Amino acid sequence: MSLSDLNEKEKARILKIQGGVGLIQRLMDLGLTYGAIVQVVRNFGRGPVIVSVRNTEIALGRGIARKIWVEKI
Amino acid sequence: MGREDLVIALCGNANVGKSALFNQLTGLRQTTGNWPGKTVEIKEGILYYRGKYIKVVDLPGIYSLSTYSPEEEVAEEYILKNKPDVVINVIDAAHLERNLFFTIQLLELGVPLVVALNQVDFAESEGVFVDVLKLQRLLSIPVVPTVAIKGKGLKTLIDEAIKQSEKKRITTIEFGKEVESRINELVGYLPENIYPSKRFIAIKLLEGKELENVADEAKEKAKDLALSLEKIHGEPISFIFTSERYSKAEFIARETTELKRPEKKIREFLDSIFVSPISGYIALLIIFLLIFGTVYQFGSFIGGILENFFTSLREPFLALNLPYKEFLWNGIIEGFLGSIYVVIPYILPFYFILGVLEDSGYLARMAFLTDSAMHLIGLHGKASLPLFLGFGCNVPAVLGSRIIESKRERELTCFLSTLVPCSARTIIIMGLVGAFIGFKWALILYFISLFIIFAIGKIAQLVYKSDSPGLIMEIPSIRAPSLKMVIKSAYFKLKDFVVYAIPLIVAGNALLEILNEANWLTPVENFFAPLFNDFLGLPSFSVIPLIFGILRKELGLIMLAAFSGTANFSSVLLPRQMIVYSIIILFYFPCVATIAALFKELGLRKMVFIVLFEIIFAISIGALANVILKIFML
Repeated sequence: MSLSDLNEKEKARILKIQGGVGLIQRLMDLGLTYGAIVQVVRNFGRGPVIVSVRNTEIALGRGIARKIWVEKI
Repeated sequence: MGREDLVIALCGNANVGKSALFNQLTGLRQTTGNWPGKTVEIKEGILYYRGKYIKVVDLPGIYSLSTYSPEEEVAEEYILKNKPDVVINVIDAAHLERNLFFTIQLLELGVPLVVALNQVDFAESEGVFVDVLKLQRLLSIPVVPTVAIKGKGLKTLIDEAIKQSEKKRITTIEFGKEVESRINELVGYLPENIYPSKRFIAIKLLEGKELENVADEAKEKAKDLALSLEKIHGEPISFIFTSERYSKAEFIARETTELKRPEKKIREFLDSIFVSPISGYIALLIIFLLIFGTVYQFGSFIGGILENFFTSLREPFLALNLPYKEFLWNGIIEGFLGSIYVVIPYILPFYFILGVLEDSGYLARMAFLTDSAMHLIGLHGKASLPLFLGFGCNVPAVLGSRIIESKRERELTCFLSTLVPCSARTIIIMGLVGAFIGFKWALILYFISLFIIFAIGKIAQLVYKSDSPGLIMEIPSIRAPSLKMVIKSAYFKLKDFVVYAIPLIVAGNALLEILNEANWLTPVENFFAPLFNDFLGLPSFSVIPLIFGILRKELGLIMLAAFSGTANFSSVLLPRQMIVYSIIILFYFPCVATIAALFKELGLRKMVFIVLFEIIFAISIGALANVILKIFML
C-alpha cells in the first residue's frame, strides 16, 4: 500500500519509493529512508499529507505520498 | 574586507534558529550577497569579540550536502573553496536525529567543527532532554547548548569555536563494515595532501561525484567499488550512504536523548484547530481577513498622517531662497516622500505580519492548507505566501518567491504575483470605479483580476510543464513568535526593499519631471493619443498619468486629476472610460520597484518578457473591455 492510503495515527515502515533519484534522495535526506518508521499525522483524504518521521513532521504533496510504498505495522 | 582575524560559517537545517543565532552574533551590521551564478543568499556580518574581528557567514538552511539543490551546492562550495576557519553546525535539540544526519556529513568534510545544540529550552518543553556530554563524546567535537533567541550560551560557543579553529582535527564517523572497507581501499589510491581529506574525497568519489584533480585510476576504482556495493544492496549508491548516515544518526540520537512526558498539550490543541479540514480553513480565512483589515486600517491611518505632514512641508520649502526649488521639490523630494508614503504604512506592517507568520510556524501550515488550491494554477502550497504578499505590494511578493525550490514554479509565481492587485491598485479601483460608478463595479474588477491570474496560471501550466513532483516541506512546531526576531527580520527585509526600490522611484520621478518641464511629454501624448482614442476609447489627457503610474501605480489616479483638471472624474470620463482606464492600470506594467525586483530574481531577459507581455495583454484586454462595454453601457 502507499503512504497516502494510511489513516491518521497509523504507523508504517517504508519499503520503496518510486521516482527519479533526485526526488528519492531529497526524501531520504529528510529522513524518509527505506526501512524508516513513519506515522501519519494528517490525511484529509485529499490534498497533501503530514507524516512524522524521526521525530519531525513533514508535509508531502499527495502525488509524492502515493509514490511511497509502505507496510502497515 | 579582509581585515578579519577569523571566519566562522554557520551551517544547519532550516527552522533550527540559525538566523536568530546569526542576528545575535552580528547585530544590525549585516550584508547580503548572492553566491556567484545562483540566486542563493549568503549573509555576512562582523562580530568583535575579545579583541578579534570575526567574520560570521550565514549559509543557507539545508538538510543535506547531497547537492541536489542550489542551496546545498552553495553551502558545500563555500566550505570547500572559502575554507572558513571553523564551522558552527546549528542543530535543533528537539529534532536531534534528523539534524545529526547533517552533522555527520559535516564531520566527513573534516573541517574544524563545533555543534551549537540550539533551542534546548524548547526541546525540554517538548519532553526531549539531551545528554550534552555524551553527545560530545560520541561526536568527538565540542557541543555547546544554546538558546539563540535569548542569547544564552553564545559566549561559550564562540570561545569553543575559536579554540577549535586553532586545532587540526580529523574526526571520523565510521560507517558499516562493507562501506568502510571500500572507503579504506579507495583511500590507498589517493595522494597524500588532497583537500580537505583523503577520506572525504574517497566518499565523494564512491557517491559518484565528478571531481577534478583526481587520477583516472582512482575514479575507475571508485566506480568498481560503488558497483559492488550497489549489487549487495540492490539500490543506488547515494541511497546506501544516506541510509548509513541515518543509522549512525539514529544510534547517536537514541544514546543521548531521554524522552519524558511532554507538556505540549497546548501545541497539539492549536494544531487540531489550525490543521484540520474545516476549522483550519475557517482559521485561514479569518487570519487573511485580519491581516488585510489591519494593514488597510493601519495603512490608511498612518498614510493620512504622513500625507498631511508631507503636504505641510511644501509651502515652507518653496518659501526658502534656493535655486531650482520647484524642480527640487517636484522632481526629487516628492519622489522620495512618495516612496516613504508607500513603505511605512503598507509595506512595513506586511513585513511585520510575515515575520509573525514565519516565526510562529504558521506559514508552513498555510502552505499545507493551500496546496490543493495552488494545484489549480500549476503551483504548490509554498507559492500561496508570495501571491498573498502581492495584495500588499508586488515587490515583497516577487522577492518572497525565493522560498520555492523549483525554478519553474519560482518564475511562474514571480510572474503571477505581478498581476495581483496590490494596495496601490486597490486605491485606484476604489478611488475611481468604486467612488464614481459604484462599489459593485469595483468588486467586479477585483474578481476579474483574480480570474485573470487563475487563467494565466492555467495557460502557463500547459505551456511550461511542471518540473516539480510536489510539496515537500518540514512542518516546524507551532510556537509563540519572538517579538525581537520579528522586528529584526522586518527591519532587514525593509532595508532590502528601501535600498533597492527608493533610488529607482526617485530617479524615475526626477526623469519624468525633467521631461515634463522641457515639454517633452506633449509629443509622447500626441504619439499615443490615436491608440488611446480609437483603440481604447480613452481621452488624450489620460496618456501622461498612465506613464506616471509606472513609477507608482497610485500616481495613475493622482496625475489623472492633475491632467484632467478635476478630481470629479465623472465630469470628464464616462463610466466605460473609467473601467477601461482601471483595467489598463491593473495589468499594463509592473511598477518600477517591481520591475527592479523581477530583474533581481529572474534576470533581464525574463523581466523584459514579463513587461512586454503585460503591456500587450493590458492593451488587448482594455480594447476588448471597451468594445464590450460600448454595447452595454455608454
